[in-house]
Formats: sequence, C-alpha cells, structure tokens
Amino acid sequence: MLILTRKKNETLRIGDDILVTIVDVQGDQVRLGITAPRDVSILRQELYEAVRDSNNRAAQTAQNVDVLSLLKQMPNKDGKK
Amino acid sequence: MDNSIAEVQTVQQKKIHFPKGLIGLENYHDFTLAELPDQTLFWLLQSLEDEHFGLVITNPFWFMPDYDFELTESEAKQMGEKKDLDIFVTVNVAAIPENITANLMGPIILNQNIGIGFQTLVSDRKYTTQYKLMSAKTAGG
Repeated sequence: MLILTRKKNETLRIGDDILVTIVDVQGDQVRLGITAPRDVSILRQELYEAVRDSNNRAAQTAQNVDVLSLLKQMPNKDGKK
Repeated sequence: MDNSIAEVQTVQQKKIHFPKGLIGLENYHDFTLAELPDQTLFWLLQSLEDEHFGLVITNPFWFMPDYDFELTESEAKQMGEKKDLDIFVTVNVAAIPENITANLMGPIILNQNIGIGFQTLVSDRKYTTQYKLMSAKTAGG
C-alpha cells in the first residue's frame, strides 16, 4: 500500500481523472473531496463488506437450511389477494 | 436438514451470465433462475457451475413498492433496455421465520432477454442489509 502524507486542502491525483482532496481534518475524522468520472463508483468499504458478508450468509443458508419449508410460511402472491 | 436445493426443479435452464460474479463471490459467473415449489415470490439464483451453490432471491416490490436506486451510466449501458430489467434482492433464510431477511443494499439486476446479470451496491441510508420480511407481511396485512 502506498502511504502519502498530505495536509488540509492538498490534493492527490489517481490516474488521469481522479482527484482526492483533503477537505478537513478534525481529530480522527478526515473529510475527503473526490472528483472522478461518472462511471467510477465511489462507496464506503463498509457497504461492500456488508453486502459481501450478506451474500456469503445467503449462499450458506440456502445450502444448510430447509429453505422450502421455511418459505412456506412467507406470503404468496395468491395469499396477498 | 439435507440439501433442499436438490429438490428444486430448474424449469427453465436459461443461462444468466454475471461478468463480475456476485459481490464477494466472484468465482461464480453463470446462473439460472430456478422456480421454487409452491413459491410465487421467491426464486433460487442457482449456479450452473456448482449445483450446491445458490441464493434465494425475491422481488422487493411486494414488500416495498417504492424500492428505488440508480445505476451508473456504464452499468445501465451494459444491461440493455430498461423495460427488460428485473430487480431482485437476496434473501437470508433463517431457521426462525421472523429472522428471514432481505438485503436491500445489494440488489441483483437481470436482463433475461440477453442473459446478463450483475449485483450493485446501493448507498442509501434508508435501506438495510437485513430487512425483516415477516414484519413486512404483518405491516402489509
């Protein structure tokens, strides 16, 4: 991992078109400003991890739990009418 | 319980290719949408590469009619016509029915016409990765 030191209001360039600016630093919180092309997705890593973990659980339960009988207790299209 | 997926009849073995796989499960690329017996709201996204691998998915709109998110331009471009898209969310089937949850932050978008699918991340604080489906049933009457 490349580690760089930057001060408030300083900017990093990543490739040709991504800019990361240190907007503010307050204690252990850092505010970043990011400029990137529209098709670059920018997300908090926690979101990725939450969905990854949820996918893994979903795949495991589908194998280990009696899915069919449990889902019988869930609503059905016909039941909702 | 023994593997209940084995009982599932794959009515329509239409291949849906996930170029990037699922999030955190990038080894699986080819799936089919399998119907589950007696279920009209839940399906199995069954791997064609591993018969023991699959995820239960549901259409989110029966419990959350205003479920909504945006695709990036490049995602939208890959997926073809908007009218051909189907939206699903993954379901965690727990042993206690009250704990059966849907993940609203990682929806799965399928275009069954061109056989392509992907999972995206939805960064919206009004959604959760653990939406309880039984409470939806109660609330909906």
